[in-house]
Amino acid sequence: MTREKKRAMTGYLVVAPVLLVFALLMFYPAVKAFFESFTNYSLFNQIPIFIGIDNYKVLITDSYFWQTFGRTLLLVFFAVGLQYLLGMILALLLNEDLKGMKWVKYIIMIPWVIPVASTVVMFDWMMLPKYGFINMLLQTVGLGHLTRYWFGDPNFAFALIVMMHVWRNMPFYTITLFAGLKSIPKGFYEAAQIDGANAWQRFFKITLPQLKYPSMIVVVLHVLWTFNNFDLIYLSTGGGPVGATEVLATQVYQTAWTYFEYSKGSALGILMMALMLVFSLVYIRLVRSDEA
Amino acid sequence: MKKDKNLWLKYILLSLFAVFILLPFVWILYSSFRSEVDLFAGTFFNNQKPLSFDHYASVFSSGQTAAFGTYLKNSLIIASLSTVIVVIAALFGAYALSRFRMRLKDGIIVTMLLSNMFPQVLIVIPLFGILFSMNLIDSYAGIILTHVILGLPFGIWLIKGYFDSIPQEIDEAAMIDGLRPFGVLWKIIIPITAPGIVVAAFYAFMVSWGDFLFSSVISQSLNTQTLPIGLNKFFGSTQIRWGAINAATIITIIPTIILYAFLQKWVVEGLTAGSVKG
Repeated sequence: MTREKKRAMTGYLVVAPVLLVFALLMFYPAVKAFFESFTNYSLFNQIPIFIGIDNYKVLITDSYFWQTFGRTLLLVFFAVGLQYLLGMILALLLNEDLKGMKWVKYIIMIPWVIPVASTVVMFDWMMLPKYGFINMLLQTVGLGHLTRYWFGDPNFAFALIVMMHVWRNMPFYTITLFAGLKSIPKGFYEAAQIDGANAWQRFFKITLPQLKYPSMIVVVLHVLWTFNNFDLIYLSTGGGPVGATEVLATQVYQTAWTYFEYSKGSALGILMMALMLVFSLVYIRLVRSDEA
Repeated sequence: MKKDKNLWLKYILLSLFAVFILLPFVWILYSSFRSEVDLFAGTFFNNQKPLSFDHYASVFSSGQTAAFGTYLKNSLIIASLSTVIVVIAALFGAYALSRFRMRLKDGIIVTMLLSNMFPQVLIVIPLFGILFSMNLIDSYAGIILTHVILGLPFGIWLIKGYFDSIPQEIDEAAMIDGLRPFGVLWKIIIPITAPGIVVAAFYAFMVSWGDFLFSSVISQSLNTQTLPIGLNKFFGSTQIRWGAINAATIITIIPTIILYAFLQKWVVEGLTAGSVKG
């Protein structure tokens, strides 16, 4: 064995335990779920029988699935869109170096570091029917007729879910875009100013194109996160009221752990995975091109 | 100064953001000190009883929330062990991927990043059966293993990035001085890249501390249930004791906030390191 080969062997040996755990707890389950999605495996059919693509057929002919699917895409669209817009505005503000800015930079990531379960309690407490902050505030300013149980109202529950997503993840956009802003050479703006470009032109011709890469990373990451996220919705509304906030992730969980229809849940999860694989590949290409 | 024209507008915008971010915290923190009577009196500031730590005391005493101390203990054990394991595994993984020439290196990195994008709700279905056959259901080990999987890909990727930024010549010089490869890792690379390692540790802790999905499926009893499960249980009970829940929530978020407070600068640096093209 050459020295070179020996070193490679040592390398593989060092990563082997990590890979083994991954194989066992990530890839094997994914493969197992894939195969089980073609069976009738459930709590009541402990010995699975191959039933072909029946689970998938049932899914795609079910209008509830399509409603859930549409709602999941809407959630991703609104949450990521608002996160990006607000995250960008805040990043631009941070870049202004106003007084007291250090303080803002300090608190900004706090929503992101706390458990989702506590986020849900905090928002539910704010939105309580009679004694929640929001309803008390509405009463005080004479808008008492607008008070309601916000999470229990099908018209508002979805908007609240979007808001909680924005609250939790917007800071991540801000720090990413802010770091991007810092890396734009000041000379670009000076040159543009000499050429007479106004603030809007400077933003659209310089800032936005220069932030292309961090923007893509942060958007793709959060498309994935929002699409796959389960606990924010499950813990706050459980998909209700009357299915108004049901998304694919909560439907998978309910199918598998409320109705114990494991193979049906797996089929739905596999569909989710197939969709997100496209996004993942885009993401990895971005990361790889960064290293090259 | 030309800039000053919009200064007030910027401050208003900034205040709106600050209120949006902080209001839920401030409100629940304040509420956690108010008596149950005042919580449901419909007033903001007119408290009949003085603010007190009563709810915090009640959380750890008998009654509906008696299990809270156990949730806290379980969370602390699970999150700390997960963090230690992630950091050790990530150090070795990152070292191998950064310093050894391996043909499968790219493949390994890509698959690891890819794995973090599988829907967790899907993975957890077969995982239950797998952990069951390994006798790991309702055990610390079972939950810790899943949390390690959650924190590790980012940890390896992040630490590898920091390792890559140290020129190989430094390794070679140290080896000429008689250090073995792992001596180089321990004595030279780790001290230089400590900020990155700390961020990976913080991320692993945060992920484990906050996980609801995996814990909810693997935990079957009070022996292993963590704080997020506990919060959800208080919440789902028929008679919600809001004062106690508010205090429990504050206790749940405090460890991550304190850790973040100490590591804030490094965390922000580490999280953004990968997204800004150098």
